[in-house]
Amino acid sequence: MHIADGVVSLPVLAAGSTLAVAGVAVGLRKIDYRQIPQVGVLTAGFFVASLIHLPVGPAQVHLLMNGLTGIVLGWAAFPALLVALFLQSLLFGYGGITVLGINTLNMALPAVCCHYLFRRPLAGNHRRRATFLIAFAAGAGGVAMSGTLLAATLYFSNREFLGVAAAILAAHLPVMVVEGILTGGAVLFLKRVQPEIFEKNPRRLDP
Amino acid sequence: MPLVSRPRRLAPWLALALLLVVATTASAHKIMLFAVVEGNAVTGYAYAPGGVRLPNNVITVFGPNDQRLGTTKTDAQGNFTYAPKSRCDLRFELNTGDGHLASYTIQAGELPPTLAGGQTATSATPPAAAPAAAPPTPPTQRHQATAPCPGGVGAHCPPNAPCRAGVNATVGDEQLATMVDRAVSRHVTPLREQLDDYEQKVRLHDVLGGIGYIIGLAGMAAYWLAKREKG
Repeated sequence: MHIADGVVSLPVLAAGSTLAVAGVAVGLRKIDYRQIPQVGVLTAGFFVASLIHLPVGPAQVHLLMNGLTGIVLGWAAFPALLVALFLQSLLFGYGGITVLGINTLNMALPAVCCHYLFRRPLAGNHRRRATFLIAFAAGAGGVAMSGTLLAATLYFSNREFLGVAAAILAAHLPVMVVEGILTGGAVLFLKRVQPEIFEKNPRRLDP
Repeated sequence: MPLVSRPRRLAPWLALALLLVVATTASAHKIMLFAVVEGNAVTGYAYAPGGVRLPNNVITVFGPNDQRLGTTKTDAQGNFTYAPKSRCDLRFELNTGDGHLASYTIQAGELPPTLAGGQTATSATPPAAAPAAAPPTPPTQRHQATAPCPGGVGAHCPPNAPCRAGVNATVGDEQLATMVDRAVSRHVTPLREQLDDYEQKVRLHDVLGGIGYIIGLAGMAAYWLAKREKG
């Protein structure tokens, strides 16, 4: 899911980086003092999740957890994922420094989308199964959107779109399932031990 | 409120636990063993991190299933030699008796094939007979390494060269190349495995380091935001 240095064409790189900078700026403005521990924990979670590899045919794909990050953090996912991706590129060689912006955009934008799509539905009092299904959709949707953005990035850098997109999405189907289940479990757990995470924030995060 | 004061009471215990963990892991790694196959014998040395050699220590050799095969002793320089009787996994263990333990395993594949299963191919060289400070390569190996005589033509060798025409006649260039290849791969394989282990360990440290960075950044952000809220 991480794009490596030198794959993306310059215009795409510039556009992606600009959008990522804007996203990070919005995220930084929205972070509340009391939200810092949350941001830190989810950044660490995203940082480590990428090390969990699932073998899919010849390729290896890894977990993203950007859905969960997005539901909980909203726009703060941008700075959180920027930090995690920066450390991943430094320590593990995933991605690269020049493509940091576009990678951040590809993973944090779906996170923010997940926030707007699934946060409000999750806030209500549902039965456990409904909560799990909504969270599952968020986890799987985060991966799917990231995969689509990745394919789009490669397309705008002069590569075939349909073939690449299909290959990427197919390779990430198992990841979507695993992430959906993990996100569902995590949200059920969070709703039990700290229901206020899902209740009070929307007012503060949405201007 | 007991809930408020509990973290404060816990802190010294946590610090103590952390100290204990650090202390035990530090002392558990204080001595080390290294061994390598040279000819028909295994030579090695015992040392402490920092390069200090450990002289006059008894090293016990274990075979598969923890079967005790024998002992050897480190000399004044901390070196030891052991001549295995059979080709099997050998575990060298140094227990100094004061809580320090080091072990090093030589895989069966590293030992020369001439030692095939239980044959006493090394009966000619009794254990510990070879001095540990002996030249690192046995004569036959040195001959192969330093005298690339063309096969079968003894006249090409200088008169004082340590090569015998009989050997040269039987070892062709290709044969020599495969022998060298085999020997090199036999010695390099364990290194590669060690490198893999090391890489795993570095990876773990990277993960822990990254999490540490994130916690530090979160702390800094909290500090800045708290300052801004106050000001």
